[in-house]
Amino acid sequence: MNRYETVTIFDADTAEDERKAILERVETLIAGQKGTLFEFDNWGGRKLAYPIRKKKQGFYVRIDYCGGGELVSAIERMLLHDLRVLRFMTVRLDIDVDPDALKAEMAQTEKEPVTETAAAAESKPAETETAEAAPETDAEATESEEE
Amino acid sequence: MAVMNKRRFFHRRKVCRFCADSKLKIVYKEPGTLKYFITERGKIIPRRISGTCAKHQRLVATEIKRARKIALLPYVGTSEL
Repeated sequence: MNRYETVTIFDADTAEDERKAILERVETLIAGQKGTLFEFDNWGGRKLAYPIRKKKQGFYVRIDYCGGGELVSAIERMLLHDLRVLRFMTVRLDIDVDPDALKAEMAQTEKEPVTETAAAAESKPAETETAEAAPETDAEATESEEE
Repeated sequence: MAVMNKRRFFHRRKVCRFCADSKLKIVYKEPGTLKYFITERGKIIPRRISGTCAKHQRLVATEIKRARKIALLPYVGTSEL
């Protein structure tokens, strides 16, 4: 069994319960194909980088699950035929995983939220570091052009 | 004198940002990090300029393409230049 994640972009105008109904159908599909659902990760409303079907706003939901290839195609088929879904993308995260072991692992990391926040704090200064380094590369680019 | 002129541009050795800091992750879900590797027009910046190593440039390129697909990054740049 492989681990997949599907990022789905819903039309921002869809009501919350409509969205929930679609996600519930995904849930039943996963259950029907003997997959394991880990979570629905709501990223919330976001501005799209470019308009999709003339919509500039979208609502992002990430579906994290385990299953086989048929399950992925079943979910994608369902999303493709739904007009309220603007776009989706499935990425395989891992091959041949044990869903139960992964679930236990996830529960454990949730139990220790202190370490998780520490890791988040660590990653933040790293991001600012890249921000500082970026103009440097730009300067270098112009330098080589002058040559 | 000619030699002096040539020496004027000294080359700082570029270091791959991801090799230097292993905590930096390359994932399509973080368009903030990937933004430094695209131009204002949305093109992927070549290795020659960004200084990324081959291994990480490959990852950066695929993740940028993934981010483009789900509209986190643009395919073509915005006109707000």
